[in-house]
Amino acid sequence: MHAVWHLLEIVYVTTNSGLSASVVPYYMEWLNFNFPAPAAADGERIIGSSPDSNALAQNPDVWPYVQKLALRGHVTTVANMLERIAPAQVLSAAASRWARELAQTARDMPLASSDETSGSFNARWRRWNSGLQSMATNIGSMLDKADDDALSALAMVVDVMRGDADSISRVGDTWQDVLGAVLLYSEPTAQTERLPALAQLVLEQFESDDFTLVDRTLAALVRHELPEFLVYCNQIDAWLSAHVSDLMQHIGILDSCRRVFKVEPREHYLVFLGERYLTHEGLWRVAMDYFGLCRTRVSQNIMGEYIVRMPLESDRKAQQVLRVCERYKLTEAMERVHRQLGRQKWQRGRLGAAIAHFVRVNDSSAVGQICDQLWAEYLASGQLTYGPIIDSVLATSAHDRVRFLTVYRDFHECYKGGEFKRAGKLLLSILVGEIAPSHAVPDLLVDSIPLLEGDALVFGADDTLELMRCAESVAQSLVDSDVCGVGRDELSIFNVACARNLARS
Amino acid sequence: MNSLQVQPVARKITGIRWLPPRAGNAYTDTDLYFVSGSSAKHKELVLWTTANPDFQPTDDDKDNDDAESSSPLATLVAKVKHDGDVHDIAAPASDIVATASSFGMISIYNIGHTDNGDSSLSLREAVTAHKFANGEPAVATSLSVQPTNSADAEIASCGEDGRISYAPILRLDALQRHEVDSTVITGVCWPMPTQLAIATRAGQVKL
Repeated sequence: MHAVWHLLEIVYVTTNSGLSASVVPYYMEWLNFNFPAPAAADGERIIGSSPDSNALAQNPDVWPYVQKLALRGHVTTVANMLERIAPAQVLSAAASRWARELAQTARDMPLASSDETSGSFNARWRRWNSGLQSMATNIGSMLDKADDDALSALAMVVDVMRGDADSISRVGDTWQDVLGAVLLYSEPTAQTERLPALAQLVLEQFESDDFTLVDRTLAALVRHELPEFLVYCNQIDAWLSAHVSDLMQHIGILDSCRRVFKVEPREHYLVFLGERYLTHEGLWRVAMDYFGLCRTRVSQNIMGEYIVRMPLESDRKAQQVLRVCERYKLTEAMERVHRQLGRQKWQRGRLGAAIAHFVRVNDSSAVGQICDQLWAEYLASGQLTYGPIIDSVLATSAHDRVRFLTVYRDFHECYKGGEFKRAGKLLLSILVGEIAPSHAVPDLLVDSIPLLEGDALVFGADDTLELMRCAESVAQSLVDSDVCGVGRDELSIFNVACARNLARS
Repeated sequence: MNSLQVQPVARKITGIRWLPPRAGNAYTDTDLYFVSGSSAKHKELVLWTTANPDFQPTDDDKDNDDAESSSPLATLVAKVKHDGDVHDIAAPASDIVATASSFGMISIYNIGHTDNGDSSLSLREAVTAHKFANGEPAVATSLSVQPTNSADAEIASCGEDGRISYAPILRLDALQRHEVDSTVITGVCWPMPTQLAIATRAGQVKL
């Protein structure tokens, strides 16, 4: 994967001006990093097994090794090896001489610099190359007169370095090798646009049936066959195709793929990768982020469908799910999750948390039902224990039922603390504000009886009349139906208490 | 911290704790131990050991760079399956580990060391500390050990049921539960041996 990504970066991302616009040094760096050759261990073994230059020159592995070094552009190492071989007495005088000359020529190989113009570099390159050409001619004429294995091997090194295509093809094992040597020694200032044509010429020399998947992928890339490249990337790994298509989108080269693919390729591969991650229990969050990167309606729909079906085994996970919904603006999914959590908490008896979730989605009906449940529990037990439950949702809720339970709780606390006037005001505010459910009003009127009958005057005339007005509507409901939590006897007591209070006030 | 070193373990780690040194306040252990807990696909408690850096050779003494770079940061010594996701870990002593699980349980594990250097991790006792009113287990979100040197120290836990539970480590059957909030309790600790502090989902801290 690294080789593919690195080459993509070289071909499409690395852009500079001047000489450094040449793709050749980057390609050679890529080649030697991702497909290192020849192995350093081979060189150490050859040197280690050859105590002197004679043994080195006679080592059957040394010349293929030097040729491979030349193919890969390791010219300094080539020079070092040749300088070690040159003094060998087993070599002919010609071989020894040309080994030294070639070592010097290798060291003189021009290197591009950012300060130099391309014209100046090309001039230096041509001079250097012409030196190799004349060296090849001279060695060739000597070989015509007499066989010399060392000289033949040296001639091959010279041919590689002067950019002879046939020699490069003979020495190179892979198309990546051959392409590298062709670029390095024939077109050292080639730019990215030259790659497809050169790659095509090189690839024709190899059997494509023998190519691995990585070979096909890299070949498609250098030939700028991007749709094919993406398909191969997906065969290597879904992560690669997702990120490659994303990078291609960012650098603006995905359009050629859109003409070939039926679907939007970036979205397709990102969703594909996200779906792969969803099969791993712990990677759902990563999957959501990949879906979220698409930023299309389709991907949003997919996210929404997945996230509402996410098992909410713990509060921590539920919070994560809600954060994802918030981050990616999945409003509908967030509502469904809140309702799901509200029902879950309701079933588990966590009424405060349930109210909080239903408040978030403005489900007044559910909030009302839970508040009614709390009120019914209070009436059944006579103990007002829902205080902490309400406290936890107070800040987030303006729901009438929640406010009713809150004010009623405050009324209770004031009454217990002996603050009767304040308690009376709170009770009256509930009735006047009509925030209590209708079935609770009779109970509130009964609660007012001790305040009406108490020693201190809690309710003034106007307040008392207001209480009596509420009692009227309760009395009317007693006439209309038989269902009421408070009976006629209690209402009679209330009416008497009101009359007495009016007389006092 | 001079550099960040990484050792992938292919687990979703949800808790990690050092064990107190076996040498106690002498701090002469050549090897240090810690436990990690994981969730999702592999629910496990794992005992690891790592070399005490105070006893490591200095840079000048290191002769073989290859050997040094290839040694792992920590070595797995023992592991045991865990019932539910590990939500928190406490290490009251060098031979005891307590965990809080997604099934609302507090579990106590014993760590054993043999003379030939082998170690073991085994479940000694577990108790359901947290459940909802309808009987469903509630996640135990956090654990804390009472800061005393007593052998009968207590361990406290909190959970999604809005309760805290506490019991002596050696007698989990004496567990006591108290409802303290209507929301999820996210954290618990002992500021003093006679006091518990909790943090709630609603952003409150209670003592």
